[in-house]
Amino acid sequence: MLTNRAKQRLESGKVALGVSCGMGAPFLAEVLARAGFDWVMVDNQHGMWDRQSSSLAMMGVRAGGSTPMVRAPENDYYAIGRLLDEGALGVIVPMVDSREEAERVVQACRYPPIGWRSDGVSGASVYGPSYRERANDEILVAIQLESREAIENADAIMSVPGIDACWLGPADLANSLGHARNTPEHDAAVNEMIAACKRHGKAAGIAAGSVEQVEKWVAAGCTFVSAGGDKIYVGTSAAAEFNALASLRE
Amino acid sequence: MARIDSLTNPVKAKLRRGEVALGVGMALGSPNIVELLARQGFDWVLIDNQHGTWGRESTSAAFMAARAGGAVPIPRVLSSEYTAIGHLLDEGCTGIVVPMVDSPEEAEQVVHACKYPPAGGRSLGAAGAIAQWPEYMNRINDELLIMVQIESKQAAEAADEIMAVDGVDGTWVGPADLAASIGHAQGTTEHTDCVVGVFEACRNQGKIPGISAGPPDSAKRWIEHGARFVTLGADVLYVLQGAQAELEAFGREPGLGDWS
Repeated sequence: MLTNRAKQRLESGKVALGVSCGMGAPFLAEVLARAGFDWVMVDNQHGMWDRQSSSLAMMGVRAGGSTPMVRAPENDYYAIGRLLDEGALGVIVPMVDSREEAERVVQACRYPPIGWRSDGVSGASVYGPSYRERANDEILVAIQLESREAIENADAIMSVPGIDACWLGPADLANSLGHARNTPEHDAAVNEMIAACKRHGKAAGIAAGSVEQVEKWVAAGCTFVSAGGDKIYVGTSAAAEFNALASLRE
Repeated sequence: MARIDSLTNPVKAKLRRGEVALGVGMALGSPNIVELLARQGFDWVLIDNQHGTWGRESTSAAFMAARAGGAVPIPRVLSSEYTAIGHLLDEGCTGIVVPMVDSPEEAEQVVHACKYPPAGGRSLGAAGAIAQWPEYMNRINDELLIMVQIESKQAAEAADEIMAVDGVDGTWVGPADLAASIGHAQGTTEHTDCVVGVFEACRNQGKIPGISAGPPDSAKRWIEHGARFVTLGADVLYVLQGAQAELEAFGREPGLGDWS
């Protein structure tokens, strides 16, 4: 009943291609899932979700046949726990800068004896009575390395048992490094993350942001990747259509 | 989870093969409960927009929940009115139950509202149905299951003519309203004969007999009489029954009476 196809792909070394969903419309989550992505990330950090709509969006992902993941608003035990209780099969935790912070993520995400996740579910009831037994194996726990400090601590962070993957945040990393994306300094930092993940048997990943960036970083060793999302798709399509017709307004 | 072709209607296919399709009534307005009961194994879920507490948005979410749980979302529409039917279809359901259809003319109006031209007069455009694109417009006329409710003396007497209407797939008899209309309670010979007569009209016209069948004993009886499009319980009933059983185990009288 409870299987995480995205995690299975990562564990067999394949690319798991994801997409962000943040516009607060659960139905869009179903549409994105049906497009064929391996995972849909319901963005509870930067997205426009409340608790109920976020839960419905995960349902939409299931309806579309993909794996529902969330980004947690912050590295907080209760915030992470309730998203899992509502049925997320993967959690991405932003701004993890140290080994201690990564250990806190595992405490929140894994049931004992690995962590201290609290027992009791709501939406996750849809995974059946075996959920409690299987959750620790099936749930994907990913953290975001997205600061200079985090890259310096990459080995200490990615070696924490119970962390499965990194989904690097390139924009925040650029701010922290003081070097824009695609500069040699920024690329070197991303490559350090990839190397650290490889050393510890974890899936390297990145919020790549475009098809070209996905291709670039998959070639460099990333497997847990995403390009766009609902907000970008609507914005770029609208802009393209408007620009194609803009001369009519002159 | 495999990718699901949500436009294919396995309930309609099952019924065409002569099998029974089991449904459950959904009244409480909770998409989460819809997904749970869909996963528990029902073939279809009746999102009851006539008697249930559903709004337009929660109904749409309930259709999504049914797809998530692997059941076919089939609403009961508030009335046989053209716009009410169109709204629900546009949200992406693949079946519909229409209450209080008493004559072949009313059945024809239902088909008109449900089918795109040339088979009917449904307005083009869809919201939630976009999850089923790009084939939706070409296939929905065939995949949509249209069930009208025969639940009055007048409708029972006109059952053959109603079931003869092209595009109507069958009936989901409303036994309680029928009992009130014919003046004979459920369980009486007169009531049973009346329902069986409706089922015969279905068979005469090659249509699917169905009923809001109630608890398992009653449902089995109706299936023996030929019913195939059948609902058993309902979300609200299951909650009451579960609570009743627990309270009775502690010697408490259930405050809302006996629902077992």
